[in-house]
Amino acid sequence: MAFLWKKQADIRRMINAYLDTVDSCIDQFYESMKMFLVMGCSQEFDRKIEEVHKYESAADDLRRKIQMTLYGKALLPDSRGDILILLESYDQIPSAAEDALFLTKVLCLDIPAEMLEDVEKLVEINVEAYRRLREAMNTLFDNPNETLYQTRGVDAKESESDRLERSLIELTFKSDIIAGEKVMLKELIQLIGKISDLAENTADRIGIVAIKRQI
Amino acid sequence: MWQLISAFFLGWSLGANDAANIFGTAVASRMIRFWTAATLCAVFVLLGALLEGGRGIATYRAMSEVSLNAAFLVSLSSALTVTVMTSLKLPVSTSQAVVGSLVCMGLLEGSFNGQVLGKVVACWVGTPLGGMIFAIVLYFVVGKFMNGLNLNLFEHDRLLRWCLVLAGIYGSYTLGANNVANVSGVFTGPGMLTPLEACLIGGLSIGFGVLTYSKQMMMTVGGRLVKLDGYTAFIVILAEAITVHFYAGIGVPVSTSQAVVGGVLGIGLVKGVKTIDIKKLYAILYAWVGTPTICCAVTFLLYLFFSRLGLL
Repeated sequence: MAFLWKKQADIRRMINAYLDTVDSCIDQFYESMKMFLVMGCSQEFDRKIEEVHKYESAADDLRRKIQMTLYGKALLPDSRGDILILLESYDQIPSAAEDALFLTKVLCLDIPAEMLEDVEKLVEINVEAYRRLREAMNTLFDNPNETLYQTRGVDAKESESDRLERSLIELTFKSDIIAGEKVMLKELIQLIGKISDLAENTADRIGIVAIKRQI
Repeated sequence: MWQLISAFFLGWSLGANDAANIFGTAVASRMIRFWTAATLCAVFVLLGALLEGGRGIATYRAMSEVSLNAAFLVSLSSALTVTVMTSLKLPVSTSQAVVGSLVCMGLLEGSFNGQVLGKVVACWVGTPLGGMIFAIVLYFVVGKFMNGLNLNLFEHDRLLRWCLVLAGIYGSYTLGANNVANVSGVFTGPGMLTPLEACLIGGLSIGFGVLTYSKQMMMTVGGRLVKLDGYTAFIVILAEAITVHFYAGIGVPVSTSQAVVGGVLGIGLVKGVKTIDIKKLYAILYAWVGTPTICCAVTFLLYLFFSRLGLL
Protein backbone atom coordinates (compact mmCIF):
# COMPACT_ATOMS: atom_id res chain seq x y z
CA MET A 1 0.00 0.00 0.00
CA ALA A 2 2.84 2.40 0.81
CA PHE A 3 3.93 1.96 -2.80
CA LEU A 4 0.60 3.37 -3.95
CA TRP A 5 0.87 6.43 -1.72
CA LYS A 6 4.40 7.02 -3.04
CA LYS A 7 2.98 7.07 -6.56
CA GLN A 8 0.46 9.69 -5.44
CA ALA A 9 3.24 11.84 -3.98
CA ASP A 10 5.23 11.48 -7.21
CA ILE A 11 2.24 12.65 -9.25
CA ARG A 12 1.77 15.61 -6.96
CA ARG A 13 5.43 16.56 -7.40
CA MET A 14 5.21 16.17 -11.17
CA ILE A 15 2.07 18.32 -11.33
CA ASN A 16 3.80 21.06 -9.34
CA ALA A 17 6.81 20.89 -11.66
CA TYR A 18 4.46 21.10 -14.66
CA LEU A 19 2.61 24.12 -13.24
CA ASP A 20 5.92 25.86 -12.44
CA THR A 21 7.09 25.30 -16.01
CA VAL A 22 3.87 26.78 -17.43
CA ASP A 23 4.33 29.73 -15.04
CA SER A 24 7.80 30.34 -16.49
CA CYS A 25 6.39 30.04 -20.01
CA ILE A 26 3.72 32.67 -19.32
CA ASP A 27 6.23 34.95 -17.53
CA GLN A 28 8.47 34.81 -20.61
CA PHE A 29 5.47 35.47 -22.84
CA TYR A 30 4.67 38.58 -20.81
CA GLU A 31 8.23 39.88 -20.99
CA SER A 32 8.42 39.11 -24.72
CA MET A 33 5.22 40.99 -25.50
CA LYS A 34 6.29 43.96 -23.41
CA MET A 35 9.61 43.99 -25.22
CA PHE A 36 7.87 43.86 -28.60
CA LEU A 37 5.52 46.71 -27.71
CA VAL A 38 8.50 48.89 -26.77
CA MET A 39 11.14 47.83 -29.30
CA GLY A 40 9.22 46.07 -32.07
CA CYS A 41 10.83 43.06 -33.75
CA SER A 42 14.41 42.42 -32.64
CA GLN A 43 16.90 39.60 -32.14
CA GLU A 44 16.33 39.82 -28.39
CA PHE A 45 12.59 39.35 -29.02
CA ASP A 46 13.39 36.25 -31.13
CA ARG A 47 15.53 34.86 -28.31
CA LYS A 48 12.66 35.41 -25.86
CA ILE A 49 10.32 33.52 -28.19
CA GLU A 50 12.81 30.63 -28.18
CA GLU A 51 12.69 30.65 -24.37
CA VAL A 52 8.90 30.47 -24.43
CA HIS A 53 9.07 27.58 -26.87
CA LYS A 54 11.50 25.71 -24.61
CA TYR A 55 9.20 26.10 -21.59
CA GLU A 56 6.19 25.09 -23.63
CA SER A 57 7.96 21.92 -24.84
CA ALA A 58 9.18 21.11 -21.33
CA ALA A 59 5.62 21.50 -20.01
CA ASP A 60 4.38 19.16 -22.76
CA ASP A 61 6.95 16.54 -21.80
CA LEU A 62 6.00 16.77 -18.13
CA ARG A 63 2.32 16.47 -18.95
CA ARG A 64 2.96 13.32 -20.96
CA LYS A 65 5.01 11.89 -18.08
CA ILE A 66 2.13 12.61 -15.68
CA GLN A 67 -0.29 10.96 -18.07
CA MET A 68 1.82 7.82 -18.26
CA THR A 69 2.11 7.66 -14.46
CA LEU A 70 -1.63 8.14 -14.11
CA TYR A 71 -2.30 5.36 -16.61
CA GLY A 72 -0.17 3.24 -14.27
CA LYS A 73 -3.27 3.28 -12.02
CA ALA A 74 -1.92 5.47 -9.25
CA LEU A 75 -5.35 6.94 -8.39
CA LEU A 76 -9.00 5.93 -8.43
CA PRO A 77 -10.38 6.10 -12.00
CA ASP A 78 -12.48 9.13 -11.13
CA SER A 79 -9.56 11.20 -9.77
CA ARG A 80 -7.37 10.01 -12.62
CA GLY A 81 -9.91 11.18 -15.21
CA ASP A 82 -10.31 14.56 -13.51
CA ILE A 83 -6.56 15.25 -13.46
CA LEU A 84 -6.11 14.17 -17.07
CA ILE A 85 -8.93 16.43 -18.28
CA LEU A 86 -7.63 19.35 -16.20
CA LEU A 87 -4.09 19.05 -17.50
CA GLU A 88 -5.29 18.72 -21.09
CA SER A 89 -7.26 21.93 -20.70
CA TYR A 90 -4.46 23.73 -18.82
CA ASP A 91 -1.93 22.77 -21.45
CA GLN A 92 -3.73 24.76 -24.14
CA ILE A 93 -2.71 28.00 -22.41
CA PRO A 94 1.08 27.87 -23.00
CA SER A 95 0.34 26.75 -26.57
CA ALA A 96 -1.91 29.79 -27.07
CA ALA A 97 0.80 32.08 -25.65
CA GLU A 98 3.34 30.57 -28.02
CA ASP A 99 0.93 30.99 -30.97
CA ALA A 100 0.36 34.65 -30.12
CA LEU A 101 4.12 35.28 -29.99
CA PHE A 102 4.69 33.42 -33.23
CA LEU A 103 2.06 35.53 -34.99
CA THR A 104 3.55 38.70 -33.50
CA LYS A 105 6.96 37.72 -34.86
CA VAL A 106 5.67 36.72 -38.30
CA LEU A 107 3.48 39.80 -38.80
CA CYS A 108 5.92 42.20 -37.09
CA LEU A 109 3.18 44.82 -37.14
CA ASP A 110 3.55 48.49 -36.40
CA ILE A 111 0.85 48.89 -33.80
CA PRO A 112 -0.65 52.41 -33.90
CA ALA A 113 0.81 54.46 -31.03
CA GLU A 114 -2.62 55.31 -29.56
CA MET A 115 -3.32 51.57 -29.16
CA LEU A 116 -0.02 50.48 -27.59
CA GLU A 117 -1.07 51.14 -24.02
CA ASP A 118 -4.29 49.18 -24.39
CA VAL A 119 -2.57 46.25 -26.11
CA GLU A 120 -0.10 46.10 -23.21
CA LYS A 121 -3.03 46.20 -20.81
CA LEU A 122 -4.68 43.36 -22.74
CA VAL A 123 -1.51 41.29 -22.35
CA GLU A 124 -1.42 42.10 -18.61
CA ILE A 125 -5.07 41.16 -18.09
CA ASN A 126 -4.59 37.84 -19.88
CA VAL A 127 -1.44 37.05 -17.93
CA GLU A 128 -3.32 37.95 -14.72
CA ALA A 129 -6.18 35.61 -15.75
CA TYR A 130 -3.60 32.84 -16.04
CA ARG A 131 -2.09 33.69 -12.63
CA ARG A 132 -5.51 33.50 -11.01
CA LEU A 133 -6.04 30.17 -12.70
CA ARG A 134 -2.79 28.95 -11.18
CA GLU A 135 -4.06 30.08 -7.76
CA ALA A 136 -7.29 28.15 -8.35
CA MET A 137 -5.26 25.09 -9.29
CA ASN A 138 -3.18 25.48 -6.11
CA THR A 139 -6.27 25.64 -3.93
CA LEU A 140 -7.65 22.49 -5.57
CA PHE A 141 -4.57 20.64 -4.33
CA ASP A 142 -4.22 22.50 -1.00
CA ASN A 143 -7.41 24.15 0.18
CA PRO A 144 -10.46 23.06 -1.86
CA ASN A 145 -12.87 25.29 0.11
CA GLU A 146 -11.21 28.29 -1.60
CA THR A 147 -11.27 26.85 -5.12
CA LEU A 148 -14.62 28.23 -6.30
CA TYR A 149 -13.74 31.69 -4.99
CA GLN A 150 -10.49 31.61 -6.97
CA THR A 151 -12.18 30.44 -10.18
CA ARG A 152 -14.51 33.46 -9.99
CA GLY A 153 -11.40 35.64 -10.15
CA VAL A 154 -10.49 34.06 -13.49
CA ASP A 155 -14.02 34.75 -14.81
CA ALA A 156 -13.69 38.41 -13.83
CA LYS A 157 -10.41 38.78 -15.71
CA GLU A 158 -11.83 37.03 -18.78
CA SER A 159 -14.75 39.48 -18.89
CA GLU A 160 -12.32 42.39 -18.54
CA SER A 161 -10.24 40.98 -21.40
CA ASP A 162 -13.34 40.53 -23.59
CA ARG A 163 -14.36 44.16 -23.11
CA LEU A 164 -10.90 45.47 -23.90
CA GLU A 165 -10.57 43.10 -26.86
CA ARG A 166 -13.77 44.46 -28.42
CA SER A 167 -12.73 48.06 -27.85
CA LEU A 168 -9.29 47.36 -29.38
CA ILE A 169 -10.82 45.74 -32.45
CA GLU A 170 -13.05 48.81 -32.89
CA LEU A 171 -10.00 51.07 -32.59
CA THR A 172 -8.13 48.91 -35.07
CA PHE A 173 -10.75 49.36 -37.75
CA LYS A 174 -10.98 53.10 -37.06
CA SER A 175 -7.20 53.54 -37.32
CA ASP A 176 -5.27 54.71 -40.37
CA ILE A 177 -3.35 51.47 -41.01
CA ILE A 178 -4.02 49.63 -44.26
CA ALA A 179 -6.91 47.14 -44.48
CA GLY A 180 -4.70 44.02 -44.55
CA GLU A 181 -2.87 45.08 -41.40
CA LYS A 182 -6.19 45.81 -39.69
CA VAL A 183 -7.25 42.19 -40.21
CA MET A 184 -3.88 40.91 -39.00
CA LEU A 185 -3.91 43.14 -35.91
CA LYS A 186 -7.44 41.99 -35.11
CA GLU A 187 -6.23 38.41 -35.31
CA LEU A 188 -3.32 39.14 -32.95
CA ILE A 189 -5.63 40.85 -30.44
CA GLN A 190 -7.97 37.84 -30.51
CA LEU A 191 -5.07 35.45 -30.08
CA ILE A 192 -3.87 37.32 -26.97
CA GLY A 193 -7.45 37.31 -25.63
CA LYS A 194 -7.63 33.56 -26.19
CA ILE A 195 -5.36 33.05 -23.16
CA SER A 196 -8.05 34.29 -20.76
CA ASP A 197 -10.74 32.37 -22.67
CA LEU A 198 -8.78 29.16 -22.17
CA ALA A 199 -8.06 30.09 -18.55
CA GLU A 200 -11.79 30.53 -17.99
CA ASN A 201 -12.58 27.14 -19.57
CA THR A 202 -9.97 25.48 -17.38
CA ALA A 203 -11.25 27.32 -14.30
CA ASP A 204 -14.74 25.98 -15.06
CA ARG A 205 -13.33 22.46 -15.14
CA ILE A 206 -11.49 23.06 -11.85
CA GLY A 207 -14.78 24.23 -10.34
CA ILE A 208 -16.50 21.04 -11.51
CA VAL A 209 -13.73 18.87 -10.03
CA ALA A 210 -14.06 20.73 -6.70
CA ILE A 211 -17.89 20.52 -6.68
CA LYS A 212 -17.79 16.80 -7.54
CA ARG A 213 -15.98 16.21 -4.26
CA GLN A 214 -18.58 18.12 -2.27
CA ILE A 215 -21.27 15.60 -1.36
CA MET B 1 -18.09 -37.44 5.38
CA TRP B 2 -18.43 -37.73 1.59
CA GLN B 3 -21.74 -35.86 1.81
CA LEU B 4 -19.78 -32.72 2.63
CA ILE B 5 -18.44 -32.59 -0.94
CA SER B 6 -21.65 -30.84 -2.00
CA ALA B 7 -21.21 -28.28 0.81
CA PHE B 8 -17.66 -27.57 -0.35
CA PHE B 9 -18.91 -27.21 -3.91
CA LEU B 10 -21.65 -24.77 -2.83
CA GLY B 11 -19.28 -22.77 -0.61
CA TRP B 12 -16.68 -22.57 -3.36
CA SER B 13 -19.28 -21.32 -5.84
CA LEU B 14 -20.61 -18.76 -3.32
CA GLY B 15 -17.12 -17.44 -2.61
CA ALA B 16 -16.24 -17.24 -6.29
CA ASN B 17 -19.37 -15.22 -7.08
CA ASP B 18 -20.06 -13.04 -4.04
CA ALA B 19 -16.57 -11.70 -3.29
CA ALA B 20 -17.02 -9.48 -6.34
CA ASN B 21 -19.74 -7.48 -4.58
CA ILE B 22 -17.31 -6.67 -1.78
CA PHE B 23 -13.83 -6.22 -3.19
CA GLY B 24 -14.69 -5.80 -6.87
CA THR B 25 -14.33 -2.01 -6.88
CA ALA B 26 -10.96 -1.99 -5.16
CA VAL B 27 -9.55 -4.74 -7.37
CA ALA B 28 -11.02 -3.48 -10.66
CA SER B 29 -9.60 0.00 -10.02
CA ARG B 30 -6.21 -1.64 -9.30
CA MET B 31 -5.99 0.03 -5.91
CA ILE B 32 -5.39 -3.30 -4.26
CA ARG B 33 -3.90 -6.41 -5.77
CA PHE B 34 -6.24 -9.32 -6.34
CA TRP B 35 -4.26 -11.60 -4.04
CA THR B 36 -4.26 -9.09 -1.19
CA ALA B 37 -8.02 -8.55 -1.58
CA ALA B 38 -8.74 -12.28 -1.91
CA THR B 39 -6.64 -13.12 1.17
CA LEU B 40 -8.28 -10.38 3.26
CA CYS B 41 -11.69 -11.51 2.02
CA ALA B 42 -11.05 -15.20 2.78
CA VAL B 43 -9.71 -14.46 6.28
CA PHE B 44 -12.61 -12.18 7.23
CA VAL B 45 -15.22 -14.48 5.70
CA LEU B 46 -13.91 -17.23 7.97
CA LEU B 47 -13.87 -14.90 10.96
CA GLY B 48 -17.45 -13.76 10.28
CA ALA B 49 -18.60 -17.35 9.85
CA LEU B 50 -17.00 -18.45 13.12
CA LEU B 51 -18.11 -15.48 15.22
CA GLU B 52 -21.62 -14.81 13.91
CA GLY B 53 -22.58 -17.61 11.55
CA GLY B 54 -24.51 -19.65 14.11
CA ARG B 55 -27.81 -17.73 13.97
CA GLY B 56 -28.42 -18.45 10.29
CA ILE B 57 -27.74 -22.12 10.90
CA ALA B 58 -30.32 -22.15 13.70
CA THR B 59 -32.90 -20.59 11.34
CA TYR B 60 -32.39 -23.28 8.69
CA ARG B 61 -32.64 -25.99 11.34
CA ALA B 62 -35.91 -24.48 12.55
CA MET B 63 -37.29 -24.31 9.01
CA SER B 64 -36.65 -27.91 8.12
CA GLU B 65 -34.58 -30.55 9.90
CA VAL B 66 -33.55 -33.11 7.30
CA SER B 67 -31.64 -36.40 7.29
CA LEU B 68 -27.95 -36.60 6.37
CA ASN B 69 -28.48 -37.81 2.80
CA ALA B 70 -31.28 -35.27 2.36
CA ALA B 71 -28.87 -32.57 3.57
CA PHE B 72 -26.43 -33.74 0.93
CA LEU B 73 -29.18 -33.45 -1.72
CA VAL B 74 -30.15 -29.94 -0.53
CA SER B 75 -26.56 -28.82 -0.80
CA LEU B 76 -25.95 -30.55 -4.13
CA SER B 77 -29.10 -29.30 -5.84
CA SER B 78 -28.43 -25.74 -4.59
CA ALA B 79 -24.87 -25.85 -5.90
CA LEU B 80 -25.98 -27.25 -9.25
CA THR B 81 -28.77 -24.68 -9.60
CA VAL B 82 -26.47 -21.77 -8.74
CA THR B 83 -23.69 -23.00 -11.05
CA VAL B 84 -25.95 -23.71 -14.04
CA MET B 85 -27.96 -20.49 -13.64
CA THR B 86 -24.77 -18.44 -13.27
CA SER B 87 -23.26 -20.01 -16.38
CA LEU B 88 -26.53 -19.24 -18.25
CA LYS B 89 -26.22 -15.64 -16.95
CA LEU B 90 -29.59 -15.92 -15.17
CA PRO B 91 -30.15 -14.02 -11.90
CA VAL B 92 -29.59 -16.34 -8.97
CA SER B 93 -29.09 -16.20 -5.23
CA THR B 94 -27.48 -18.95 -3.17
CA SER B 95 -29.68 -18.17 -0.15
CA GLN B 96 -32.84 -18.41 -2.24
CA ALA B 97 -31.67 -21.63 -3.89
CA VAL B 98 -30.92 -23.28 -0.51
CA VAL B 99 -34.31 -22.24 0.88
CA GLY B 100 -36.12 -23.59 -2.22
CA SER B 101 -34.32 -26.87 -1.85
CA LEU B 102 -34.85 -27.02 1.92
CA VAL B 103 -38.59 -26.39 1.53
CA CYS B 104 -38.83 -29.18 -1.05
CA MET B 105 -36.90 -31.61 1.11
CA GLY B 106 -38.80 -30.57 4.24
CA LEU B 107 -42.09 -31.26 2.47
CA LEU B 108 -40.85 -34.63 1.24
CA GLU B 109 -39.61 -35.62 4.68
CA GLY B 110 -42.49 -33.99 6.58
CA SER B 111 -40.35 -31.60 8.61
CA PHE B 112 -41.24 -28.30 6.92
CA ASN B 113 -42.04 -25.25 9.13
CA GLY B 114 -43.96 -22.62 7.14
CA GLN B 115 -43.69 -19.91 9.81
CA VAL B 116 -39.93 -19.70 9.51
CA LEU B 117 -40.24 -19.56 5.73
CA GLY B 118 -42.46 -16.49 6.08
CA LYS B 119 -39.78 -14.74 8.12
CA VAL B 120 -37.09 -15.67 5.57
CA VAL B 121 -39.11 -14.46 2.56
CA ALA B 122 -39.87 -11.17 4.35
CA CYS B 123 -36.13 -10.72 4.81
CA TRP B 124 -35.51 -11.37 1.11
CA VAL B 125 -37.83 -8.47 0.26
CA GLY B 126 -36.18 -6.39 2.97
CA THR B 127 -32.67 -6.95 1.58
CA PRO B 128 -32.73 -4.59 -1.45
CA LEU B 129 -34.89 -2.19 0.55
CA GLY B 130 -32.32 -2.24 3.36
CA GLY B 131 -29.51 -1.70 0.88
CA MET B 132 -31.40 1.26 -0.57
CA ILE B 133 -32.27 2.88 2.77
CA PHE B 134 -28.77 2.45 4.21
CA ALA B 135 -27.23 3.81 1.00
CA ILE B 136 -29.41 6.94 1.15
CA VAL B 137 -28.70 7.58 4.84
CA LEU B 138 -24.97 6.85 4.55
CA TYR B 139 -24.66 9.01 1.44
CA PHE B 140 -25.67 12.10 3.41
CA VAL B 141 -24.14 11.26 6.79
CA VAL B 142 -20.71 10.18 5.50
CA GLY B 143 -20.83 12.96 2.89
CA LYS B 144 -21.41 15.62 5.55
CA PHE B 145 -18.47 14.27 7.53
CA MET B 146 -16.17 14.18 4.49
CA ASN B 147 -17.17 17.70 3.39
CA GLY B 148 -16.16 18.97 6.81
CA LEU B 149 -12.65 17.60 6.32
CA ASN B 150 -11.91 19.97 3.38
CA LEU B 151 -9.72 17.36 1.70
CA ASN B 152 -7.77 18.13 -1.43
CA LEU B 153 -8.03 15.91 -4.48
CA PHE B 154 -5.19 13.60 -3.40
CA GLU B 155 -6.28 13.32 0.24
CA HIS B 156 -9.85 12.67 -0.89
CA ASP B 157 -8.62 9.94 -3.22
CA ARG B 158 -6.48 8.38 -0.50
CA LEU B 159 -9.29 8.41 2.07
CA LEU B 160 -11.68 6.80 -0.40
CA ARG B 161 -9.19 4.07 -1.22
CA TRP B 162 -8.84 3.23 2.48
CA CYS B 163 -12.61 3.36 2.90
CA LEU B 164 -13.07 0.92 0.01
CA VAL B 165 -10.59 -1.52 1.56
CA LEU B 166 -12.15 -1.24 5.03
CA ALA B 167 -15.68 -1.59 3.61
CA GLY B 168 -14.41 -4.66 1.72
CA ILE B 169 -13.06 -6.17 4.92
CA TYR B 170 -16.33 -5.49 6.75
CA GLY B 171 -18.30 -6.83 3.78
CA SER B 172 -16.23 -10.03 3.83
CA TYR B 173 -16.92 -10.47 7.54
CA THR B 174 -20.66 -10.03 7.03
CA LEU B 175 -20.65 -12.35 3.99
CA GLY B 176 -19.18 -15.08 6.19
CA ALA B 177 -21.54 -14.30 9.08
CA ASN B 178 -24.64 -14.25 6.90
CA ASN B 179 -24.04 -16.80 4.18
CA VAL B 180 -22.18 -19.61 5.94
CA ALA B 181 -25.53 -21.18 6.88
CA ASN B 182 -26.26 -21.68 3.18
CA VAL B 183 -23.15 -23.75 2.76
CA SER B 184 -23.12 -26.17 5.65
CA GLY B 185 -26.09 -25.28 7.87
CA VAL B 186 -28.20 -28.23 6.68
CA PHE B 187 -25.59 -30.70 7.95
CA THR B 188 -26.14 -29.66 11.56
CA GLY B 189 -29.72 -31.02 11.54
CA PRO B 190 -28.76 -34.70 11.17
CA GLY B 191 -25.98 -34.12 13.71
CA MET B 192 -23.11 -34.69 11.31
CA LEU B 193 -21.59 -31.33 12.23
CA THR B 194 -21.82 -29.13 15.28
CA PRO B 195 -22.74 -25.49 14.50
CA LEU B 196 -19.10 -24.48 15.08
CA GLU B 197 -17.80 -27.19 12.74
CA ALA B 198 -20.38 -26.14 10.15
CA CYS B 199 -19.20 -22.54 10.43
CA LEU B 200 -15.57 -23.59 10.08
CA ILE B 201 -16.16 -25.82 7.05
CA GLY B 202 -18.52 -23.29 5.45
CA GLY B 203 -16.12 -20.39 6.04
CA LEU B 204 -13.17 -22.34 4.66
CA SER B 205 -15.00 -23.41 1.52
CA ILE B 206 -16.26 -19.86 0.81
CA GLY B 207 -12.71 -18.60 1.35
CA PHE B 208 -11.39 -21.25 -1.01
CA GLY B 209 -13.84 -20.07 -3.69
CA VAL B 210 -12.68 -16.47 -3.18
CA LEU B 211 -9.01 -17.42 -3.50
CA THR B 212 -9.33 -19.72 -6.48
CA TYR B 213 -12.05 -18.38 -8.76
CA SER B 214 -13.27 -14.86 -7.91
CA LYS B 215 -10.86 -12.74 -9.96
CA GLN B 216 -12.88 -12.60 -13.17
CA MET B 217 -16.11 -11.78 -11.32
CA MET B 218 -14.31 -9.06 -9.34
CA MET B 219 -13.12 -7.42 -12.53
CA THR B 220 -16.58 -7.59 -14.14
CA VAL B 221 -18.76 -6.55 -11.19
CA GLY B 222 -16.12 -4.15 -9.84
CA GLY B 223 -15.82 -2.47 -13.22
CA ARG B 224 -19.54 -1.81 -13.17
CA LEU B 225 -19.46 -0.43 -9.62
CA VAL B 226 -16.47 1.77 -10.37
CA LYS B 227 -18.61 3.61 -12.92
CA LEU B 228 -20.58 4.96 -9.96
CA ASP B 229 -17.47 6.91 -8.76
CA GLY B 230 -15.28 6.14 -5.76
CA TYR B 231 -17.51 7.67 -3.09
CA THR B 232 -20.80 6.16 -4.20
CA ALA B 233 -19.16 2.75 -4.77
CA PHE B 234 -17.92 2.90 -1.16
CA ILE B 235 -21.42 3.84 0.07
CA VAL B 236 -22.99 0.96 -1.88
CA ILE B 237 -20.51 -1.58 -0.45
CA LEU B 238 -20.95 -0.25 3.08
CA ALA B 239 -24.76 -0.24 2.74
CA GLU B 240 -24.62 -3.80 1.45
CA ALA B 241 -22.39 -4.90 4.34
CA ILE B 242 -24.58 -3.25 7.00
CA THR B 243 -27.74 -4.75 5.47
CA VAL B 244 -26.26 -8.23 5.29
CA HIS B 245 -24.85 -7.87 8.83
CA PHE B 246 -28.30 -6.86 10.08
CA TYR B 247 -29.82 -10.04 8.63
CA ALA B 248 -26.93 -12.10 10.02
CA GLY B 249 -27.93 -10.67 13.39
CA ILE B 250 -31.49 -11.93 13.07
CA GLY B 251 -30.27 -15.18 11.53
CA VAL B 252 -31.55 -15.01 7.96
CA PRO B 253 -29.15 -15.67 5.08
CA VAL B 254 -29.83 -13.17 2.28
CA SER B 255 -28.41 -12.23 -1.11
CA THR B 256 -25.44 -9.84 -1.12
CA SER B 257 -26.06 -9.09 -4.82
CA GLN B 258 -29.61 -7.94 -4.08
CA ALA B 259 -28.36 -5.71 -1.26
CA VAL B 260 -25.91 -4.17 -3.77
CA VAL B 261 -28.69 -3.57 -6.31
CA GLY B 262 -30.72 -1.86 -3.57
CA GLY B 263 -27.73 0.31 -2.68
CA VAL B 264 -27.17 1.35 -6.29
CA LEU B 265 -30.86 2.19 -6.59
CA GLY B 266 -30.63 4.32 -3.43
CA ILE B 267 -27.71 6.26 -4.91
CA GLY B 268 -29.75 6.81 -8.06
CA LEU B 269 -32.65 8.21 -6.01
CA VAL B 270 -30.35 10.56 -4.08
CA LYS B 271 -28.57 11.87 -7.14
CA GLY B 272 -31.70 11.99 -9.28
CA VAL B 273 -30.10 9.88 -11.97
CA LYS B 274 -30.86 6.51 -13.41
CA THR B 275 -28.20 4.22 -11.99
CA ILE B 276 -30.01 1.01 -12.63
CA ASP B 277 -32.25 -0.26 -15.39
CA ILE B 278 -35.63 -1.84 -14.78
CA LYS B 279 -34.24 -5.23 -15.90
CA LYS B 280 -32.20 -5.39 -12.68
CA LEU B 281 -35.37 -5.06 -10.60
CA TYR B 282 -37.10 -7.73 -12.66
CA ALA B 283 -34.01 -9.89 -12.09
CA ILE B 284 -34.50 -9.56 -8.32
CA LEU B 285 -38.19 -10.42 -8.59
CA TYR B 286 -37.25 -13.38 -10.76
CA ALA B 287 -34.59 -14.49 -8.26
CA TRP B 288 -37.13 -14.35 -5.41
CA VAL B 289 -39.55 -16.62 -7.25
CA GLY B 290 -37.53 -18.35 -9.97
CA THR B 291 -34.46 -19.47 -8.01
CA PRO B 292 -36.26 -21.30 -5.18
CA THR B 293 -38.78 -22.78 -7.62
CA ILE B 294 -36.10 -24.09 -9.99
CA CYS B 295 -33.97 -25.34 -7.10
CA CYS B 296 -37.02 -27.02 -5.56
CA ALA B 297 -37.65 -28.82 -8.87
CA VAL B 298 -33.96 -29.85 -9.14
CA THR B 299 -34.10 -31.19 -5.57
CA PHE B 300 -37.23 -33.16 -6.34
CA LEU B 301 -35.68 -34.72 -9.45
CA LEU B 302 -32.47 -35.60 -7.58
CA TYR B 303 -34.59 -37.02 -4.75
CA LEU B 304 -36.41 -39.29 -7.21
CA PHE B 305 -33.12 -40.31 -8.83
CA PHE B 306 -31.37 -41.14 -5.55
CA SER B 307 -34.48 -42.90 -4.23
CA ARG B 308 -34.52 -45.14 -7.30
CA LEU B 309 -30.88 -46.00 -6.59
CA GLY B 310 -31.88 -46.84 -3.04
CA LEU B 311 -29.63 -44.19 -1.53
CA LEU B 312 -32.41 -42.39 0.32
